[in-house]
Amino acid sequence: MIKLPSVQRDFTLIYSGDPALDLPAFASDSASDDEKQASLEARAQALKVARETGNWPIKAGESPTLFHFTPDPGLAYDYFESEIRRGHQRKKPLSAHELAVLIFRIALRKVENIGPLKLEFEDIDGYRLVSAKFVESIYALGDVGRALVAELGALAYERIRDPIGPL
Amino acid sequence: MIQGLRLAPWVQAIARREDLAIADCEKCMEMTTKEQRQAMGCGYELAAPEEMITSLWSPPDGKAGFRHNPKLPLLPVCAGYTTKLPEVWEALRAWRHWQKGELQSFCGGMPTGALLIALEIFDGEVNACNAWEMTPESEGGGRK
Repeated sequence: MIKLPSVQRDFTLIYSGDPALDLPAFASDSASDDEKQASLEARAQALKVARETGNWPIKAGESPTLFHFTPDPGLAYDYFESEIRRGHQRKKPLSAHELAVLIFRIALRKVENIGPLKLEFEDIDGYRLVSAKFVESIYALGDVGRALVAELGALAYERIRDPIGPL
Repeated sequence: MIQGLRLAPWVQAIARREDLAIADCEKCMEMTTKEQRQAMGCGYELAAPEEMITSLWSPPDGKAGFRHNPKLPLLPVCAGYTTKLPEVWEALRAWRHWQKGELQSFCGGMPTGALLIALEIFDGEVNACNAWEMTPESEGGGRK
């Protein structure tokens, strides 16, 4: 079940490339630059509204993969910050993708409709994180897997870092 | 969420007094064109350039009306959209429980820091709106 955006309870995110989402189609290769730009804007707007309102456009009869995140990872957020600190101390700051993966592992609580993959957790330095094995199983899907973790991790980070947005 | 929390009491107060089109997004969509909604800053539509947002609803701004830092103007997004965001509704519901000392029951445990901040913002604006409603029109309020 889709959970609405929340500052108190778990909320749902859906990957923008999920085939069950009913988003405006990309313009064809033969379309003009203006048409391509318009289709990208329409798609971005539909995603923005879905993420803000929790009203995701789903194709009839289809079930997207639902990723449920917590808005407040509690102590595990200390682990996230300590990893950032360690990166700076080593003079090798975490990349944007590494940060997204870390938040994905800290904040993800539950996944629905993900086929044979099974969400597992592991303890790292006393903190409960999504297991590296689970992330690797998503990566095994290819480029789409990496893109999924990066996108959802970045979106979850926005909500956790700045839960009370200006809107 | 901040704008939604701040404008929610004002939208409710004005909607009690008059037919406020922005209070019902579905009805508004039936009655207006896409261009009209863009001029109103509708959050469901692609954002128009700021100079084209000419019909943005704003709360009463008299002497006792809505106050905000002039250096931080309201975002050009319709209050009908921002005040209905799920986190805003969540805070409004939590506020009812918070008033009765039952916030933990609503939250099923400790509230998050973000929810507490949201409640403070909303409660402050409820008080400001109540003060406006009790202040006579002659003194910049909304009491007739």
